Amino acid sequence: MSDRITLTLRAPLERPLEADAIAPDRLATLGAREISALQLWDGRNAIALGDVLSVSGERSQTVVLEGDLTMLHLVGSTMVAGTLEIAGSAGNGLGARMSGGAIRVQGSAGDDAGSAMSGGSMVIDGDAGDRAGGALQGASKGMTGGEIVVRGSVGRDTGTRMRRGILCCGAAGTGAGLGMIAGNIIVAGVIGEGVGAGNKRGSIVALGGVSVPQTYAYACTYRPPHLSLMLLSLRARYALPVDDAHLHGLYKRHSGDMAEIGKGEILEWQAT
Amino acid sequence: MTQLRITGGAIHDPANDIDGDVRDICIDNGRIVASLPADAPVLRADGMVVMAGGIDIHAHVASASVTLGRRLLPEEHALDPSAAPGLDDGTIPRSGTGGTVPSTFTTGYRYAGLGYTTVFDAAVAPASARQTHAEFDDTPIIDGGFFALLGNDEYLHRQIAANEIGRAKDYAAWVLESTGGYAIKVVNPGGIELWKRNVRLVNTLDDPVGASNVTPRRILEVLAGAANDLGLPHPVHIHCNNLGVAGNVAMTLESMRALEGRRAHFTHLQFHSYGGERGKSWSSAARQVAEYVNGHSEVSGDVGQVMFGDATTLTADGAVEYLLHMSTGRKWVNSDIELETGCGIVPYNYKDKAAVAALQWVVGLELFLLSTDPWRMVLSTDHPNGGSFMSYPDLIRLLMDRAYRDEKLKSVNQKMLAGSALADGITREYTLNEIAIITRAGPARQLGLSHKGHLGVGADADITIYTRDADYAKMFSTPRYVLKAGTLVVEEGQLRRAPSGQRIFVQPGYDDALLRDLGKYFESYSTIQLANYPVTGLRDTPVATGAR
Amino acid sequence: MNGPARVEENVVCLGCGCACDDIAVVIDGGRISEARNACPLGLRWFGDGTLPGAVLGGRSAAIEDVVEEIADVLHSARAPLVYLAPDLTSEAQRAAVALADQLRAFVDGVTSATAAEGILAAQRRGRAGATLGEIRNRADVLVFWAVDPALRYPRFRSRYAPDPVGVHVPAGRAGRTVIAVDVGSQRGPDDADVRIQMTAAEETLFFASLRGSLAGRSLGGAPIVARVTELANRLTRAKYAVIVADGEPSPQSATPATMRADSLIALTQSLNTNTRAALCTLRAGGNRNGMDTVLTWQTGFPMAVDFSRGAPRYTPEDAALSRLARGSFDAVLVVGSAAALPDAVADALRGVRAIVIGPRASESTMNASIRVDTGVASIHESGMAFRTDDVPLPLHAVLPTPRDTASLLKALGSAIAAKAGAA
Repeated sequence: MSDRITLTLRAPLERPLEADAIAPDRLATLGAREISALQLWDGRNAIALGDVLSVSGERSQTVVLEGDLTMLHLVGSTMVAGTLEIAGSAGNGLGARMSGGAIRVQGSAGDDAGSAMSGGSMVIDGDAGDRAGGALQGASKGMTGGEIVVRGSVGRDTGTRMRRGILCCGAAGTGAGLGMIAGNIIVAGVIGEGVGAGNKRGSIVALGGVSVPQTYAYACTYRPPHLSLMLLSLRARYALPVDDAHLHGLYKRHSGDMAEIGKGEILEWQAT
Repeated sequence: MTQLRITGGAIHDPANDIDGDVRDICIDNGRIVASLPADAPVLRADGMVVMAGGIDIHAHVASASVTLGRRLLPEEHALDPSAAPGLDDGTIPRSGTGGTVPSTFTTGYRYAGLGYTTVFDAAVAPASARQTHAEFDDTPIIDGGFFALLGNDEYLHRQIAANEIGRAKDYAAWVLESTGGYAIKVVNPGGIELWKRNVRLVNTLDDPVGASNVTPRRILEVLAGAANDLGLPHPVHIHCNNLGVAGNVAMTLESMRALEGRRAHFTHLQFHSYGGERGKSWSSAARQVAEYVNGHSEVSGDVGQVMFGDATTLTADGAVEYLLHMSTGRKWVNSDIELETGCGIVPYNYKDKAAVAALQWVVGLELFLLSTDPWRMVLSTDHPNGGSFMSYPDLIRLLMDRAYRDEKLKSVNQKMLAGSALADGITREYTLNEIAIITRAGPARQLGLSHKGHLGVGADADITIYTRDADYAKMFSTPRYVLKAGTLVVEEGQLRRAPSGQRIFVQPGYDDALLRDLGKYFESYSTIQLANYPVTGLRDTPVATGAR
Repeated sequence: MNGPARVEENVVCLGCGCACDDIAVVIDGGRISEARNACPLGLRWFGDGTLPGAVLGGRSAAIEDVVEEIADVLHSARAPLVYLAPDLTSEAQRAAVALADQLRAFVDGVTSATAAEGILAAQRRGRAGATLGEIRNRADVLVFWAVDPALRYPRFRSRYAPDPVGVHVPAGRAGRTVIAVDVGSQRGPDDADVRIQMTAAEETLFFASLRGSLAGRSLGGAPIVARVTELANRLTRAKYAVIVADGEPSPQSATPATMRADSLIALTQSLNTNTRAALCTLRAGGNRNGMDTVLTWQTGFPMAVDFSRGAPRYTPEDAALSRLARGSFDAVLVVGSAAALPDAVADALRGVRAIVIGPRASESTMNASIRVDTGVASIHESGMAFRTDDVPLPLHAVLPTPRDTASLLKALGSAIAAKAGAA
């Protein structure tokens, strides 16, 4: 048993590979040789993990990946426990459908990070692509639990049909929080068009300004007490750049989406 | 493999009064024969249980509506990928997806993997019958047939309105012949047409459906009469009015009495056996329904058991699905089909902690346990409505293992169970032969399939061999061997071969005079040319109709 | 071959999704000399029925050799694409999907490039729909939402609605109220009884206001509310309201396709609280609905299916177009009429070396290494095709095919199986 398993890319990838075999809980019981024998997928061909990544350490719930991993997809998908650290940037589908454990990315992540996640946490120091914290096609619920923190920006369609959980980002592209049922999306900076369209419930917190959709109605300006508690907790746990003005400031509350049941909200922070 | 002798197994063949005797079963060229040469190949089944292949009398597996359901559920399919099996018969194996409404190939493989070799799709809109044939062509191993929806057909209603009962019968025969169907299906008689007119509940069997003399009662009488006059192997297959509504037992019993003395099959009776009052209370009325069926040998039924977990409600009964959509907030498909019928779909989850679901589960089990004649109360979950066909083994365990059933009963929501027979305690446990009756021999008898559901000489060599296990769910979920028409499709628990199944249909014949009138109707109202309506090029041989 | 002139009745036209099955095709001298009842679009689609029958690009022109060669290319590919173009019978579509499954390929077709939003919205919400026969016989209020079927679905109005008489609409056109909803330059029919106009920028709010008003909530300013109220009143007073929309909106549309598709579904569903209503989505020709339907029953998904891992995966957010743009495939098999592909797809396919099996493949301008001519569904090939409402129709070929697509694809499957077995 090692204190960690380190997987290092042997050579830059020329083509995308699928690496859903790499999840800390699945590696936790395996020796180095067994880990090397796990299958990665190059299109329709299986190849041995060991041919692509060098393996050091074994039987640990902490897995560290090193190298430019932007073409290594589905890492940590469906993981249930353990810690996955990515010393670089990750590919698509990082932590998709994960239900527990922690993922930390020093660089950026590709599309579909934390898609249909139900638990655990994911912290990305850089940016994330499209559909972070999104939903399976056709599923009534997207993210049903857990927390995603992206310090940089996320692409479009973030947090679609979120049912539970928290998603924080530095900035968000178009269509953030489509069809939310509940849960919280917090955007520190710029938010793209079409935010919160079709929401039934749920909160979208805009700390850096927002163009409120026509289908939301202004309700009031107030100091939401629950919000300062949540922001405090997030600041403490993830070192988010939330300052006292956000904690104690005034917010405009817009209710929507009025095409649906209108019980969602966009909370727009008011700079003083 | 043309010849095979199965030796050493305990034969459970209730149609031939064999209850666990150890005998040889001889197979030659796809059928069971009396004897084989001494050097014929042998399959040793010592200590195992041998039954005919399972027959599903009522499921939704191959139709335009089923495929609408498949299309609605990508999220289920994404979570249940099904790789192509490793076959060694030279056919190219196919992958697919599962969930409650699996893709076609996966449906065939999974049914065969459970030891089922014949499946009937219970609701096919005649206009889309050719799609059902194509889907069955892509559903390997199992023999398939279907029931054609007729209870809400405009042309049929017109004949009833005009009292042209002979022409109604000819029309029913023409629909079966044109579609390659096997039996006449009635869903919510008149109620689908009324739903299209925004009338959402049928209050009595005598509610008018357009014309004052077209009523659910008349529709039932005319179609039951047609099926019996045509000598169809399976009588009219009835899904009563007011499915799933509290207090609907009154309508169910009235429908049965309306056809008293005539052959009729009442399907998924669990969904039609509720006491109480709409909007106020629910209770089990399974005892009343079971007593009626027990006392009337002309009536048969299947249960439509609810099993806890994911399901997809998928029915021609569109009005019900609207209510379910509104009460659950789940997504909803409705499709009104060509003056013929309809279709509604809502994904559903039966939770054992939910009062109504627990009641439904109890009602179904009571129907099984209070019915004195298993030949006439056979197993179904109305797949995928009450649960997937993959839950049949667990259902069998509930019937065979009282301790298991009672333990489960304690864990479900008790709110609506007061006074129910099951809550009061039912000691009955199904025997292996009774299981063989409700899963193969009984369905075969109700369907009029003389060559299926038994192991006598001349029967199709559709055979399932189980390894005994005290856990009946385990025993019935993993047969050791399955033979389909003499081919070993499952060997040592593994799917090995996937021959194409046959189509089971009737060609009852009709008076050509019908076509003149029908031609006028098509010209006036149809969007399909009459000449383009019939399905042509059916292979296989139709099942005989006529005097029974 | 060229006997005296003959007339083939009840032929199905696949010129658009209407799939009119009342065409009388006159064959004279081995050509189609007439297609009675067909609209101009249908006439173009039938043409004269003549086809080349070439096999190009193989080391030999013998079809058996070419099948072997194609099998080699596909079997040895790392990441193959099977792409379904229009004009295939559903039998050919089934064989093509089977081939993709066998190859662990990615399989897709024109649906994902032109009509995905309506399908994805229906997977999220479901859909209240009706077949065309039900619409013909029951609809008393018809809303054409930003579509005039005269343009791309010419016989829709004369065969289905509003013109024909129906069981519950004995007066035909006179018994129906036709409402045109004009969204910017996307106009409804000219002869509508009622016109409701909005700018493209207003559509989102209009939908929200309309849906809100059905639920008893008021939303939007007076100018929108007045129009919304008129439409809502007409819809809720209808006995059977049908909303007709284009399932293949032009890519130039100002409105996000997702929003409109989603809103139309939600609107139609909620109308069923108080009355009956159905959404009718118009699809283009060549048996496109057949592709979605066949893929769905075989794989559980209607488009963009990835078999690479041995079982179907659904990736509509990363469909064939975006994969082609990334250069994901090292072998591409196009089946069907390459000339009928949408421009974006044809352009993307031009960037790869492809094998084309389909009508007029030999005349294709694609960068194809091997091109095998086959026939057009319904004209040269028999089988089944699906109307825009997913009703299946029989196809009876009126002319011989150079070679049957489904049979050719099955032979290809056998050849690939032999290679896989030998490996």
